[in-house]
Amino acid sequence: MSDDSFSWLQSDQIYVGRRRRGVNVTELLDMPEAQRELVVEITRREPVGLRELTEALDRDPVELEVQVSQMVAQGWLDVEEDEAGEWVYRVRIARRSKRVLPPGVWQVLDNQWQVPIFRLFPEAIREQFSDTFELQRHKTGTILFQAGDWGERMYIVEQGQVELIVHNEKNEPFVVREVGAGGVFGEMAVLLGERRPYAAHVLQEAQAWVLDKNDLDALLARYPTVGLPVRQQLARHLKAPSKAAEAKIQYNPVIAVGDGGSDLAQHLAEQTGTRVVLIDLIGRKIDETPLLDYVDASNLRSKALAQAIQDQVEAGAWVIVSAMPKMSDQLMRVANVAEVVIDLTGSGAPWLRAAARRYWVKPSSTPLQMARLARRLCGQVMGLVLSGGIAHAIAHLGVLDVLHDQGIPIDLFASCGYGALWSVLYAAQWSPTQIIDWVTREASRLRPFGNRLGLRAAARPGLFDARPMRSLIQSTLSGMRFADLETPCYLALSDLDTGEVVCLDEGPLFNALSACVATPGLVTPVDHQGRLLVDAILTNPLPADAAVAGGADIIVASSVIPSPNARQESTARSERTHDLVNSWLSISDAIAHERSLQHLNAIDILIAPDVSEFSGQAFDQAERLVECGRQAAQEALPRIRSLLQQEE
Amino acid sequence: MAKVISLHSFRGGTGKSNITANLSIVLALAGHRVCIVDTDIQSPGIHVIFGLGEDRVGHTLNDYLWERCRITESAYDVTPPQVTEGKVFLVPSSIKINEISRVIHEGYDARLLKDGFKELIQELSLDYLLIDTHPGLNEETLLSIAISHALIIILRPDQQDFQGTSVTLEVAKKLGVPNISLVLNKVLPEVEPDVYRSQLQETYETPVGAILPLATEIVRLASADVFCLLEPQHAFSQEIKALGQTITAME
Repeated sequence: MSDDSFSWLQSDQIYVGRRRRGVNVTELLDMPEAQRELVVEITRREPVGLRELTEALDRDPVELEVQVSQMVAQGWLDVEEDEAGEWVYRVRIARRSKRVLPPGVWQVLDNQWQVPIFRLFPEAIREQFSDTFELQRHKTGTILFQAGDWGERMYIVEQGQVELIVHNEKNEPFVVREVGAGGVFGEMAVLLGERRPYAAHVLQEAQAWVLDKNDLDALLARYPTVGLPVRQQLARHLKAPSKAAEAKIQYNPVIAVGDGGSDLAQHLAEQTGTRVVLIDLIGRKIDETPLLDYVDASNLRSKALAQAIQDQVEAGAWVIVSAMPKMSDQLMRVANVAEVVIDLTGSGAPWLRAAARRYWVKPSSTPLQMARLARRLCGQVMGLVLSGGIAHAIAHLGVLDVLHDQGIPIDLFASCGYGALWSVLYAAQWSPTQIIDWVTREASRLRPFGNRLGLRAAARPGLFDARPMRSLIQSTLSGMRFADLETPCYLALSDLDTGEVVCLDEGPLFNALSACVATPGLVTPVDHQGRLLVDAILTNPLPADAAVAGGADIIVASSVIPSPNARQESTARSERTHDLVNSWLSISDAIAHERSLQHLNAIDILIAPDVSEFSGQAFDQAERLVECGRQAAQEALPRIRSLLQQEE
Repeated sequence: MAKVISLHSFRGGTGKSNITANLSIVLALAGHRVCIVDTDIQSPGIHVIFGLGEDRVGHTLNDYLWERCRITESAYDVTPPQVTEGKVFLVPSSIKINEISRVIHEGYDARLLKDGFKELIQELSLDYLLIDTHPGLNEETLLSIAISHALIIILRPDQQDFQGTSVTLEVAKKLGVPNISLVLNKVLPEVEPDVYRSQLQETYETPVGAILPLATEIVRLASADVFCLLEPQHAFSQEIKALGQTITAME
């Protein structure tokens, strides 16, 4: 296993470079004549060496050699050694076009990657994509690749069996997984350009659909509107434990690798109120409780172990297998059987990931994170959606205050506008009281429509100076990143040019938050990786979809977008001044309200503080707004409690 | 070295399969080993002329293209008793509907076709490989033409065929086929064959291999057998024999 990525230079193989599909016969007609003559001549005489070709075509031998080498590099010619040790060439003809992938393959890919990528592609591209797959046949005993090789292609097995093998430090082989018909392997390499963590041996003559990394790259690059978000989503999905939009999924049995299995078991018992069995492979006994059983399985052989697990699951218990991160037959076998393998060591083991159906890395074992993990296992992840809004969003703080006070767990946030700001601060472990104080203190800087930019504003994409606000965010967060937050936050934003909704959940917080408070048209947008981003108030003001995508099972939403009816009835109407900003806010509220209805189906409980009597700029009314939020949350509490109890 | 000969026509109904079958017999009678590959997967037919019924056929070209068998396993010896020294083999295409539609729908690896031809030549020690193609220009015909040493373009005295032939000739010349010849079939008896011959040669600047008459006897036979075996003295059979001779004289 060489660490030198240029080892191919030293090998005897011909470097074929970026693979093409071969020559398409129809292309023959369009080629320059000299090239065509060469290709046709080789086709007629193959396998043929350079000498014979030079004679037959009566050309300069050096030129001919160059042309032939180019064709080999392009993938048009195959080259091999004949008995005399000379290089001989054959023409590689492209597969007949319009190959249709068996429909099952799409299914397999979507399932495997748990992201419906291919549904994002329009039909025409899918057809073309079918072409990029090649059906290969491999005899028993063939080694498809070795551990440590750079991954160039992924495989979807149609027939036969392939074994994925790793070796431990003593060079003992372990079968990570056996892949049969319908199985996929090697996909990580294709997506993330990694080295192979295992070797692949053909156990039984196999037929597989093969996708070359370059082809996938080319396709995704050609369709960037699909390509970029797909890759981002995939990479995120594969690296971090996010969940696909599967409703109320529960994961049982679970393998916890590393220390903390017993903690997890305890949290799970508390969360579900049902029996949890800790099957221990490490040999660390724990005290049993009414809901927590302990089984010492350190001496059980893999088959008996798998049976024990199955029996407990069938008996209706949650099973957590606690194991050490050491390569063993036992662990491999159990990893194949478990719904999810959780790596509590934080180091991540590619071989373990390859053996598992699902693989989560959870390095932090604080009680909060463990409880959250337990909730994830039993499908009770709680997501809080905070709607967009400017001063109105202060009411969210009242809601947050009540929920925090009552100990309602919040596992993730999906928010927009100023709501995003509160969610990030809470996720950075500020208490609601602290946030409320801060808002009161900094009201003057939080007001976005204070300083007009004057006449020069006409040439800028924003009327008001965002700098005071931005420097406030900067000083408050001082370089924090999403990864530093205790709770995942998904911030909904809009691309100013395309109107597309963009969801940010990683990277530096400053950019994302500055964009969240950039009211479109009134405040200068933020340049983020080449896109101009603004508040998503007009496109996705109640981003419950982001909460679903983030893996929330239970979604509570707080919306401070005034409904048009409420506006009409509000007594403050006659008192409102109709300057530019207020006019804009009125219109945007109407639009935002309609847009907020789009994800209502995903929301379990909607809390709607009545802020209609306040202006959208009423930062001086913070206390009253918070009180509004508190009231609404109190009213919703019984419903929230009963929902949580139902789940148990 | 074995010669690969493609028999092609731009449009259907020119009599290509019959000519291929008859030509193969003529070559075999002259002592050569010949194999025909019916690459007209969409509408196979030449097996009928040789009386190769479904009951006798196991593997077909389709099976080879799906890598279910070696190509030699789909080659059948259809040498008639009249042929003593030579041999005639046929690789038929499947007549089963589901197999035809599957190939059309899924396609196949064209490399296999190319490699298959070479394997047949080697394994069966062939002198001539005749490729019976599907009418018109498509990937298979282009491929066959590209690898052929000789191309025989068959046409009828019909305006549509004349135009189509120009197109085919253009392609063939582009692909640099060494020997191209035309065969005019279904010629009405009232016209002097030589008139046609000179006309064609002038128009297309291509040698004419044979002028074949439209004969009621041939129509009546209706592809039930190889005509030149039944009536070796007929003008049709004589022309085919002459065609065979130009083939064998080819370098």
